[in-house]
Amino acid sequence: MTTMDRPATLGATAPHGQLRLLVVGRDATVLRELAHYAEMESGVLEQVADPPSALRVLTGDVELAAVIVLLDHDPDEQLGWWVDVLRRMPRRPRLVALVPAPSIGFTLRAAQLGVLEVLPLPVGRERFLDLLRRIQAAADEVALPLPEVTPLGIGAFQVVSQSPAMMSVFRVIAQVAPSTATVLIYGESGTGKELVARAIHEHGPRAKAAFVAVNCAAIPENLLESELFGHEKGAFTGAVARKTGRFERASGGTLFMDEIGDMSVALQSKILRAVQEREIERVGSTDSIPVDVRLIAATNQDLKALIAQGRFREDLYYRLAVVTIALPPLAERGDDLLALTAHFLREFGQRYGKTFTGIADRALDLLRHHDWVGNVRELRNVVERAVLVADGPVLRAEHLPEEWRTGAPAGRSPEVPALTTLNEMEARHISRVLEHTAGQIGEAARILGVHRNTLARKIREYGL
Amino acid sequence: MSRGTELPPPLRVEQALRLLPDVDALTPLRALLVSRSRARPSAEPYRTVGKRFVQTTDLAELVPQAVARVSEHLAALYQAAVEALEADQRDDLAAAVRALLRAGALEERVGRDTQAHAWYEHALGLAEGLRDRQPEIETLRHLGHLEATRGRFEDAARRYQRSLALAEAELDDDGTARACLGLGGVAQAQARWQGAASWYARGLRHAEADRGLTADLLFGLGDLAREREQFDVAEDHLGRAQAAFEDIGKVDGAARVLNAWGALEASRERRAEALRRYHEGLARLQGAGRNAQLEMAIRLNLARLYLDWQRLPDAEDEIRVAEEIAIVYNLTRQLARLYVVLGMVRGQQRDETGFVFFEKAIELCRGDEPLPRLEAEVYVEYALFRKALGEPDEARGYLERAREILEVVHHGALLARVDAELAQLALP
Repeated sequence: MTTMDRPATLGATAPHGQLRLLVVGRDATVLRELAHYAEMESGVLEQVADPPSALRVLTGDVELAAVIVLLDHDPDEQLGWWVDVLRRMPRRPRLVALVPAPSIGFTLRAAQLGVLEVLPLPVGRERFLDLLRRIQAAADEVALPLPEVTPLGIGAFQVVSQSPAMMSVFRVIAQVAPSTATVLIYGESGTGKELVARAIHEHGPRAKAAFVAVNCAAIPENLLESELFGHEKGAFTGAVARKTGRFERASGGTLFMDEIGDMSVALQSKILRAVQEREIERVGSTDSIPVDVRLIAATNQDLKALIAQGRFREDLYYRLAVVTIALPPLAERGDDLLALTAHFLREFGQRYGKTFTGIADRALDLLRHHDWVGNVRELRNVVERAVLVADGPVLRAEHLPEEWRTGAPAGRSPEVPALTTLNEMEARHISRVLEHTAGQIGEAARILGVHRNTLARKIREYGL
Repeated sequence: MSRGTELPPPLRVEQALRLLPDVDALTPLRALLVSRSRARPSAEPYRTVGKRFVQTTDLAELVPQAVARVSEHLAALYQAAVEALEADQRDDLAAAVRALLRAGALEERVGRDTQAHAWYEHALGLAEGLRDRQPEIETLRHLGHLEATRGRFEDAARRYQRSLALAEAELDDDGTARACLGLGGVAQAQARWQGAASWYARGLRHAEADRGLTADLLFGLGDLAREREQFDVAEDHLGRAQAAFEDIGKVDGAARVLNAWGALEASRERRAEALRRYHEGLARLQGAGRNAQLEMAIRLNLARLYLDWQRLPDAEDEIRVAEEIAIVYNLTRQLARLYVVLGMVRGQQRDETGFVFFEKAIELCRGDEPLPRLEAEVYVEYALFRKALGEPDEARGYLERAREILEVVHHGALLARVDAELAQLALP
């Protein structure tokens, strides 16, 4: 293989720089053909007939660069299974699908699932060699050292940041913490709103008392009232014992109410009463219980817009928004991404008994190009999953979610599409709109500005 | 046509369901609404089915689908009823019973257990008047299976016993073996191990001519031995069941064996091997037409494996995949079980808000077709969750609630466990 002479890599290669591949399928002609090409290029190609045999190889000691599967019937269903399986394997080889006549729709779905390549059968020498080069490129990664990170401690929690956007947040925290003022924190999901609330509590006059958090969006509406105010035994079907509510538990300390915009207007009135009169009633009781809490609320919604729609009480808003803090999304926190990744790698490494010293250039590239809709929480989850599957001291691209990996070598943005045909472009766009409308053809046709029959025909044509 | 204004914000499922009156006529629309709901792309750690979203603009499109689904189901029921009448008219009452059973099975398939029960009971009334006992034997088996699915094991056993007695009197080996299989399953579910083993073994003596039935009975013996931690015996039976299923090309059977084998390896703490068996089970189900129930059973076991393995993110991933399937296929029982496992995941993370998953599971158990036995199981795990969080009063309350239910549904094994937990909580 001509492209195999390269510096030491982290990839799945045999001692002499050969790529190790596993081919799964029964078609003797195709298998012979692939074996021949691989031999010509000094690749190590193992063949098995079916998924159970492949599973045995995959759970063994051999480190594979890619698994090439022949999908001759129900390719969609088979592909889903393969993606699911490889995602959970300790070493995560790339997936290549060989399909007799793949539709554009199938190819798009495969790309979305992170499949390295979909090749039509017969494969042909040039195409296979090109595939080997792509696998090789995916395996060529250079390890970068993890930066040293000094987190700020907030009780048992830690904040990692050096970005200017977060520094201004820290300044507001320092100003507001010593008071007992109510604070409203704005921020997308996963930006660390609870951590900021904890920081305010920990550095305030009530630090020695309880910090109680409640996520209003997580709790079913019919349970939220009893969760906040408590209930007497037998007050309703599920009230198996007397329960102290979060307001009572936070008395003397801080009550953090996350996603307050998700609360019903009726419950908002009860919160307002609790804040104004400093007393609550448990569900099923008429006795008033005095409470003394510092309230910190948070939301990812535009509360003023909700007020305009009649979905949020204006008087409650002004009670809550004495001081407001806006948290930046992870995408606006610059190099915090690397610092946080390093921090989480060490944290989870310690939890799962692994040590990390570096991050591969390609992995970092993928992290930087991801959208991070779920912000720091999403990054934390991604790193934890990566730590679970990693088997060495370096975080590699193969440890990251399969669907992120397009096979593009490091340095090239995974978002840059290859030059393609008009049909492919059209299929891609239709697929995107259908995803947005959750498969509703009528709605998709309206957005695309075509008749639904036309859209239905194109969906059939492209196999979407 | 041009692109219109932005779509209005979607509704939460719980909000949408509250808007629809809880009347029978809307049940299919409610089910469709839930099955077409979707989760937000961002991570929502406490998301349950009620917190998913449905786009209001989709509702108008859902109506024809809901109507078509109802109409298709009703047409099949009416056809079965008409066939029963036609058979009655030509004095072929055995065919009439078969038509009624088919209608019951259709109801059972869509989770309308009460309606299915009514069809089967009606069929039984007809079958009891026949000289030919085969329709009655078959009908009793259907009723036994349905009662077992609903967790009413005493009733299930009574039906299977009657089916067995009739089959034996008729020298019907197939009917005898099938009744034994049912009785074995019921005894196993009640943790009556010795009885279950005897039923399966007795069934095997009558099933020699039927490879499929033999495989089912061997599977029963293997799965039972696994539960009793007789691992070598389990391996032997499961291996034979697997070979028998392979021989007759029964893919679902082979996948069921692999699922049990995965659980066996998990019990032996050979987790990588268990993982491989479960994935192989899922692989077997490919291309065999989706068996969502079995797929869910395997995925639930996978989630439990990850939970025991302390691979909590993997457990959650698996649960979320399975949740989608359960919601799309309207598998209420399995969805409730999934939420219990997710609650256990949160419990291991010491996350108090994990209680929302137990609450949702309880709500699902109290749906249109109540699942008291499962509800009791949920209460037990909920109590353990509360206990671990240092809330003994609530834990005790949930255990007592479980106890009340278990006394009604006669589940001795779980009742003993509840009593043990209550005794432990009573210790100073």
